[in-house]
Amino acid sequence: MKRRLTFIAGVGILTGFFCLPLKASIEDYFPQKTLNAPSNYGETGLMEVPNAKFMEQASLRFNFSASFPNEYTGLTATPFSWLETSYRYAEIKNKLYGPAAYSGNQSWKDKGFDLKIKLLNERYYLPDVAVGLRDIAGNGNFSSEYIVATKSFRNLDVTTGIGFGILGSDNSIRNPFSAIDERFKNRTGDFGEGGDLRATNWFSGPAAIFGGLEYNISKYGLKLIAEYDTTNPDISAFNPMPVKSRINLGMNYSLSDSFQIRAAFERGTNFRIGFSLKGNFFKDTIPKPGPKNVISLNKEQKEKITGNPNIFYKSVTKSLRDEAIYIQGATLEEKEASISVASSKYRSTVRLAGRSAAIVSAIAPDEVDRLNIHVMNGEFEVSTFHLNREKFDAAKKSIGSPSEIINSSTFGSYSNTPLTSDSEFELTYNFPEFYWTMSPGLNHQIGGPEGFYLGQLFWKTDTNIKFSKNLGLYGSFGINLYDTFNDFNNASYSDIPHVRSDIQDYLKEGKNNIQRMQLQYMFSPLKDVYFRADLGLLEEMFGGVGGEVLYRPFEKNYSLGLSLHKVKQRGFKQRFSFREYETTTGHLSLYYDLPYGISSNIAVGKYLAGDKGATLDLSRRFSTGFTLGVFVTKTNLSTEEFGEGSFDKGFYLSVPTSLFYSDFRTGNISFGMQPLTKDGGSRLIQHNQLFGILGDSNKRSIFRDWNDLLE
Amino acid sequence: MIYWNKKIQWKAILLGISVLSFNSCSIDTSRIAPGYVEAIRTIKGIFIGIESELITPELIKNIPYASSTLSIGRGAPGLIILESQDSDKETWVSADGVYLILEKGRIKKTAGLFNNLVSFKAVKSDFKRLVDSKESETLIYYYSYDEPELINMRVEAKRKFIGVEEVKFLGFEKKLNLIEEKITNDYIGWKEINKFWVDENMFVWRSEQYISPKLPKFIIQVTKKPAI
Repeated sequence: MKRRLTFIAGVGILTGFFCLPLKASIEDYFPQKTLNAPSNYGETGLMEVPNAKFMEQASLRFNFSASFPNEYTGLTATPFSWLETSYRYAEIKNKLYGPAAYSGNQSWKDKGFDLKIKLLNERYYLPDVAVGLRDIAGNGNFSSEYIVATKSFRNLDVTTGIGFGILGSDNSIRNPFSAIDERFKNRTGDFGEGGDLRATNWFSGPAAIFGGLEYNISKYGLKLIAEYDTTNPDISAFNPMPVKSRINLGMNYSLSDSFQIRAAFERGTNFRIGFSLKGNFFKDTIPKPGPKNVISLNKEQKEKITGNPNIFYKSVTKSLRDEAIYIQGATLEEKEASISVASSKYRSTVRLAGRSAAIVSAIAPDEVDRLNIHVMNGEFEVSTFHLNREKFDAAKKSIGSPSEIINSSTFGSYSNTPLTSDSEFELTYNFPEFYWTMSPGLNHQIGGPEGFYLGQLFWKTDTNIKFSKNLGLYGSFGINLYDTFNDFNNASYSDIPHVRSDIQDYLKEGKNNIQRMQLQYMFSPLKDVYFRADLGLLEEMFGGVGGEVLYRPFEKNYSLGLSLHKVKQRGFKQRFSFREYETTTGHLSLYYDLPYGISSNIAVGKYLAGDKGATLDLSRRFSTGFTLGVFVTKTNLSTEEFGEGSFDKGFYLSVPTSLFYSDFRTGNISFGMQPLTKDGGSRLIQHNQLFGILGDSNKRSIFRDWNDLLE
Repeated sequence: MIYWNKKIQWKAILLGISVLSFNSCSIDTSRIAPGYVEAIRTIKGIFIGIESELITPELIKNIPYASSTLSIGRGAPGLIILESQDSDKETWVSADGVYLILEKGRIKKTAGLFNNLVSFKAVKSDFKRLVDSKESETLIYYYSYDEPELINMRVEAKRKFIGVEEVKFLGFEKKLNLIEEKITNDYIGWKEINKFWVDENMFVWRSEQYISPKLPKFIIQVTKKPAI
């Protein structure tokens, strides 16, 4: 009877989807707009159950949700408008992490990855439809799958869906997939070491229809929520908790477009509170200054320049400096003006070239009809723009367009014969040159048995001594200010060389350390071929010798790299001593630009622990520079040898700081997460990786950013 | 022009927290650029504010155009210059391409913002009657915007003369009449108070104006008066 009623209710809600129109535009102007809210787990949803709504693409949301016994803290990102990914820590308060001698009275912690994929966008008659997986590749405590639909009726969002796994705990209907295959009838509870996808479990076992209502009182930024909750997370995993009611009630209040707080009463017994912080980085919403207005020289002044190019070089140098562009070399010929420029202000190579060209064009003699802008990054000339001056000037005066410039321009790369090697005007250097920066830094270990958070505040000093244009000694030193690392008590029992798992010893003993001290030599021996040699203390755990070669054909959307290093493990104190372990590590890498701003990198080779395998890295870069990426490594280690997690994986993101300022700048705020610090699949950390210097300046990148030319 | 609104503020806080909390969770620091300096700058921007452009009486004097300062939200004041004047309609522009069209001190149109006021309609009314009569009045305004597009949002405005106040300007002080204007749209729950400080000729020397539910407060203060 109960199942039948649930089914009828589900059908009734679905039927209702075919009625009402979508929202009007004034909804966008509510000062406290009701936002799509996160579920307790982090993905967009109601409370315990998800809905089919998504954050806008390029969004990032931090979510915290506390109750007893389960508390969730997580991060959700939308690399595409149809994909939401979440990473979450769950704290189960009624279970201890382990024996008291091992982890004191710390409660159990569980990590999990979630995915939600949109199948259908809401239309006049159709709802949003999504499919999702919770706690993929974890140890199964919250493992669930679902198909869900949500339709908006003015201020009311109606959601219904079918859940499996934890979401199917109510077991209110027969698993519909069991009609296709008998294996969907049962679900195994064995998750081994965790980390396996266990795809055979997906959409199998007990199933239940869940649903809910969200009523948006936009005027006050308030969302009232009621849901039929089919989960029993604490029953499945640990100490049973009673479920007095399957109806949960809650409210969500949007204090701004980015900050929400909420409260709920769940299962007829428990209160829950939470908050979330969200940012969207799809568009740069802060206007940036346009190019400086450069007044063209008059005929008499230009004639003077023709007779004395030094006036041209000095004028260009001074004007470029006003735009924070630094000239590296220049040559003025009868028909062509060539300059080599570098800037740490502009992320876009095209913008840098456009602003440089505007200045050169304003100052160059009238006979010059081609502007050659050679763009430098570090020691490398990364790309060259050959611009038709007439078209460029016309577009600047709005009697032409960037498209017309691109049709009359050519682009190239002359990495091994840069303009700076043979320019008429050259910079003078006074080697050795010394540069340094200082900043505070933090080290953490999160989610360990000794404590959920152990950390260190330290003072970091970075130095660079340049002996020549291509050779530098890079140093990085840390001085401890405060730490809680003495509580570490979790030695590694890995059966393979401890190349990373002795992290606690490194953090505990190396509080005042030399993070790195290495000589680097970089040059381009052949066109489109770049080389870097390393010698010294390469990173916090390894020192040695080696290098990297990158072949980046300028016209193509791929690059090939090879890195090879002979390394020895550093002492825990991270000064100049070494431990016994040494190895040779290296990878052959293919970088390939896919459509929709997706970059891929597959690296095959030998890892630090001697294991052999491949790493796949996929990332999406938005036009603002905001980047979201994931990586996965699988080597020839067995699941048992690798240990918990089964294989190495993680995610990273990077947000350009220029999105917060009214001026251009190239800094990023970045972070990454690997759920576990394991020895298998560990790679040497290489500073100044060549693809990082060159990857975003090939012809494809130039075409992508072409609209920046005149801005 | 530097501007700073709640939206950006929360983004910045989110990032500030993120960078300080998660930076070293992973051992693979090649994927985790430190960015501490940027984070600190960001957080400093939230709590201390963004560094102001250097606006001095000398600078104002040396600019051969009428000028004002403009602050948007918590942003530091930036200079705007009178680009053109046609009867009562003045076009002001900032160095980074934000355009404001003002009529008798009121912002009637904007360009260069992420949400622009494209039209402002109201029955003709001036501040003189308010100041002279000391009585309040109620008017209806219609605001239209781009991105997202909205046509003729109806707003009720209750205006009244508050009194005379001494206002400090860059290098001088003035006694001015303060007019307060409560604007309300009940449907979306938008309620703000605009303020205009006018002299005896009803010239607006300073104003604090809300022009869109999506934008923070605009504070405009004249530094060099237009020549008429």
